Amino acid sequence: MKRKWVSLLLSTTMCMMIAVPGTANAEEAVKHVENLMIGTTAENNVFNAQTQSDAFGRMNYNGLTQGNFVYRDENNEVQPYFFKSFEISEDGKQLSFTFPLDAVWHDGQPVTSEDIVFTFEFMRDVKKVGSLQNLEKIELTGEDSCLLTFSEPDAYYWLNSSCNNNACVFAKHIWEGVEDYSSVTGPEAAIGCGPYKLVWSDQDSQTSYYEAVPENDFLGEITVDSVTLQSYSDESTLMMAMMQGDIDAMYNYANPIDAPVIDTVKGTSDIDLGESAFSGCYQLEYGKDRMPGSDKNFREAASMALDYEQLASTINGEYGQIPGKGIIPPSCKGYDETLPTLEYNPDKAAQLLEEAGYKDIDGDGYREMPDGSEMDVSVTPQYSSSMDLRMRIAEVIMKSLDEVGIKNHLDEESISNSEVWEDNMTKGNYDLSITLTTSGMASYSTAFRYFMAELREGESSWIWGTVRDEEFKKDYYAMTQAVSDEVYIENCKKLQQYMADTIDAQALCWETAFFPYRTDKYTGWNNYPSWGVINSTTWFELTAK
Amino acid sequence: MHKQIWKKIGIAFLTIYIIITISFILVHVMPGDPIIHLVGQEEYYYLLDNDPETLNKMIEKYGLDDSLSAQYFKYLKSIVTFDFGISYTNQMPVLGNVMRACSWTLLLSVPTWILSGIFGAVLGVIAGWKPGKLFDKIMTPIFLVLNTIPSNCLCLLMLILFAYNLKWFPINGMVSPGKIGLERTLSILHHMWLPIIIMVIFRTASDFMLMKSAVSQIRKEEYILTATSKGIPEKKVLFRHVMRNAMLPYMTSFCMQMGGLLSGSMVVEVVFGWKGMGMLMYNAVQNRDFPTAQLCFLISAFCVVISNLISDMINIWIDPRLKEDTANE
Repeated sequence: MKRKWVSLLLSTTMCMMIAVPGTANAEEAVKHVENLMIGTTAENNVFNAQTQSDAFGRMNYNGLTQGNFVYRDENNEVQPYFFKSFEISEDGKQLSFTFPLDAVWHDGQPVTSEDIVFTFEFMRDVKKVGSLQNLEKIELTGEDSCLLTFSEPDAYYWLNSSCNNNACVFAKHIWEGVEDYSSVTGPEAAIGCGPYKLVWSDQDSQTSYYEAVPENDFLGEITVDSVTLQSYSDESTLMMAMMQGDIDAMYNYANPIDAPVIDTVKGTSDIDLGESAFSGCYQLEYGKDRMPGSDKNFREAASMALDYEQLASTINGEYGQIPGKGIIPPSCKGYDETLPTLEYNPDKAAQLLEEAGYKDIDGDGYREMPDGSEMDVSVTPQYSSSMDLRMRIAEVIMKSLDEVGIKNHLDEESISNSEVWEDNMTKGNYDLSITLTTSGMASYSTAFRYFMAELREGESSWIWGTVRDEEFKKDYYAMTQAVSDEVYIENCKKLQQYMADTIDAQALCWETAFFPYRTDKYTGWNNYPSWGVINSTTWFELTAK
Repeated sequence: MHKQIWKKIGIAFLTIYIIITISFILVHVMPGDPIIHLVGQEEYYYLLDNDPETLNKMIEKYGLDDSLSAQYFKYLKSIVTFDFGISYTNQMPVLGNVMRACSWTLLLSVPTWILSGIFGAVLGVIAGWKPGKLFDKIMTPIFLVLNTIPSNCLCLLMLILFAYNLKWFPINGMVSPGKIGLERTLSILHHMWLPIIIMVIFRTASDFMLMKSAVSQIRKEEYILTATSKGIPEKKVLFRHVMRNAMLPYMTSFCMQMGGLLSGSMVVEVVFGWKGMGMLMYNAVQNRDFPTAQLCFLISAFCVVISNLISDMINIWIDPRLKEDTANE
């Protein structure tokens, strides 16, 4: 009997020993997020995989319903998403990649190599994607591998721009023969091979609902079972909804929450402000096609006359920083930390102006040009449907210039008509131009794109700059056509140094971005600088607490 | 009388035609190139560089390259045939988009119109009949403040208080997702409350002022003094003599408010995310969606003209002096 009891005790102990690790394993198993509620200010109206507008199009920057080829990670490096791997040739003209064989379209059909070939042909010949204009050959090199050959070293640029252009696989059986792709409004337009499929959308409630497609597990197991995308009328209501717990996170493309709104959210329990360094920035370019912008002495003096503290506070509240002379913020790839920050020194600015011959000859309180003619500098903010902030920036700049005796005025015509503004920009008909680089542009074209006065052959638009130096142009294209990160960084640094030396243009503020999210229910948020916690990895990393 | 009515109808149609023309001109002189809004700025520049042909095709498709006169005749034709084209923003028929927005706007504006019409009249009569009394002393400053406060300010204050802090109402939108049948109706009602309260407050404030001023002026008239001195009871004087005359300007204003029923309240709709006509018009102008903006303007103008016409007819019907005038003509 005693032996029986001992053996029973032993077997119980053994069972417990086996069971304990088993329990631990169960605990270690990933706790899926049942439904992730995401708020946005974009509308839930258009559901077309080919467009980037509206909530659906915007969310697809994160590979929600579409199989984006690659994504940019938190360190600004391009990583495979639909691609399983990729490699750029040394000359930058070839891109080889592999793709999954088990991915499915949301209508149940398998993704085939025919779809891959069709996609590149469609993007080049129908969508006319600029970065694929030199794509010469699309060859399948194996069951799951493909080789793209460009006539120019465009592979690196295409790959980088892909992250910001929703470049993804398109279903041949849906899009073949479709020329006017943006006008397709049926349910087939939303079909993709991303980790989620659109299940329903309700325009009246401005909601769309997505469910996971386990086969399309590009970055591992999909841990978020479903996603609800809810639109709000503006940032304020979006934040109220988050503070009430109606939504878990927000996505607004490259538009972080404004500083005044974020101040009202600060201190709310269970909300992380999602703070990060913003890679975009407001910038000022001096019009160098005429005086006084063509005079480096003037540019240097004007740069010193600007009150950067006030500019920072206007643009980004207490979170704004005085920018460096190299223009691009520290969160950008290739940032040169050796360059100094801009200096506000109105006395020195006045002295520089005096020395350069900008003197008040007629005693009206304003300086004249070195040749004695009248000087009245125009300030031109970039035209936009919402001009409020740009107008406030212009006011700060105008006040600063006024304080050192530089007479100035707002370019009224340009701010009321986009065509007039564009025409003035293209013709270099401005003295001081305020423009914005979004974080999307910052990630692959950079702010320097805006300063170009002449582009390479075949490019004829967006010529807003007045930098005509061939050296600058050469370095710019060497950067965008780089074959590796090293080459990109090297040329990016050259461009920053160029701007620090010439003061052809300058940044106005380096901003802090805020993309708040709730921390009470889920863990594994990854706050990408300038983009927030909703990104391509969210679907595979976020878990329930 | 019939001749007079036909004349007014004729003037109304002429006014509508002039408005159609003005709205066309206004929309087309709006700054901004619609093609940039159609394709998005970044894509626009890519296409301009790499495929201007596609851009030209789009410009042709939307008739943006036609001469202004050709566009004007197309526009007139579209009005006659009720074919207002495709919206630039969501590629759906404009008429469908506008009708959907109209139905949502009417949900807010009709109850607002009726409720504030009643509240404004009743409260205005009480305050105007006994000016300087306690009721007047309390209500007049309140409505005066409400009448002058910017609507977006009140909207935000009420939103923060009732929707965010007290959680009595939803923060945004028109209906909760996934609701059907009765649940959906109740959800819409729940979402409607706060915007309606705000709209009723604003409208009541202006109606109150109008009625109060009409009543307080009429009560000073000699015929009211005569009626009172004849010993007619106060209630009878009020309802038979004062109200009847005060209703004339009030009804004119009430009918004219009907003209605004479909144009919506832009500020309230934008703040509360109510996808009605106000919001549609706001977005159409922002995105240079010409066909949508034109139809919105047209509907608003049409409603205003028709409501003025109705107001004229009602005045002829209820005002014996006008009836006599038209009969003499």
